[in-house]
Amino acid sequence: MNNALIGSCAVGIVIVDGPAGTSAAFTSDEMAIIRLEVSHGFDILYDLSKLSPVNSHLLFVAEVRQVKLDLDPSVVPAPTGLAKASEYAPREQPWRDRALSQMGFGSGRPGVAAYTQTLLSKSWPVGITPSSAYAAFFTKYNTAWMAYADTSRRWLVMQFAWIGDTTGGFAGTGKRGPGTEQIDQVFAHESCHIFGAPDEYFGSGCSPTGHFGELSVVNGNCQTFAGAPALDCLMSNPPKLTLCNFTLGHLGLVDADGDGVLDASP
Amino acid sequence: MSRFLVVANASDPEIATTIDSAGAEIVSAFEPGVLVVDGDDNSRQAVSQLASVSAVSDLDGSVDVSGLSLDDAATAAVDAWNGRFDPGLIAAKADFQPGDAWNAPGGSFVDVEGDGGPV
Repeated sequence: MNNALIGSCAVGIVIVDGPAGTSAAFTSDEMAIIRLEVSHGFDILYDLSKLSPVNSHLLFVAEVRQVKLDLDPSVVPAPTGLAKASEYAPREQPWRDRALSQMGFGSGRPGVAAYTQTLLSKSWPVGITPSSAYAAFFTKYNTAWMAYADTSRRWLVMQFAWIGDTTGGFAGTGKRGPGTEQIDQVFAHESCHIFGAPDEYFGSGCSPTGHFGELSVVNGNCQTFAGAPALDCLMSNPPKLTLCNFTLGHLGLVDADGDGVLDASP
Repeated sequence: MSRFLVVANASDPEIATTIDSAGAEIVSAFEPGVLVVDGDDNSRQAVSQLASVSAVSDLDGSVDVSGLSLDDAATAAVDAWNGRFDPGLIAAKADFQPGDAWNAPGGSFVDVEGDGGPV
């Protein structure tokens, strides 16, 4: 599978819905917001791909699945706001693996990988054949953080209610979200992780000597102390709707030998 | 360039060919056949001439599909497009306050399973 931000990419939008009347249940308006924001997020990524020295011919094909669970949201542990590494799995596995099961797939990474494989092999509109695929789980079940991507680069998670809560009161975490109107930018940021880009903001614990992406490019825009100067970038803080040269490299948008072909092209 | 929406019979590969020939590009395609296209008015006109295309929006504008019988997925995709032009949403997007979303402790690129999965 192609792992760079190049070519046609299939995205499975999975709305993991909870029982009616519970905090995990989506309204039809909220699901409409997800569709709108994801479409906007694709626009952002497409526009950013135009910073590439060579046209990456990026386009997205998407399916949207609503998976309704009978899982009581109170059984999923509440977030602490600390987002420790050990907090992710206990908060994601209960609803994610049930959703995968209802979709006909196994649990965990193999289950998500099987789903993304179906995204690669299915028939898409106007004969588009994707060379990459990932899943985007939207949920109101508890998660360890409001938005993140797994290091397997096969899925990301968006906790709709937390992202939308700009008060800082979500589950007592004191961590406010950017608002539902910014889901597109959050989605674009997390999608860049899918294509190999690391975080660059100080709080991420990034290392300026770490290497990422298909071309193993150094994380040269990593902020090594709070408030450190950094190039404008979607992966930095505060995020800007642009990509620094390091992130372009992480995403595979480099033509170092000037042959008119992106170095990470599949 | 600008964006426009195409509602089409998605099995027609001529749509993609026409878009490409007109110097436009598909940005995204939602099942069953709703395409967001990056192009100009010439490409928009070219696409709108295809028999398999049932509706095309204005450039950076909404589309009226009230006369079409679309399935739920297509209707939802069209509604998502038309929702882009809500003045309240446009104003809210212009007032971007990212809050803590870009400050996930430890970053938001995580090994969910905790088994040292690939980076």
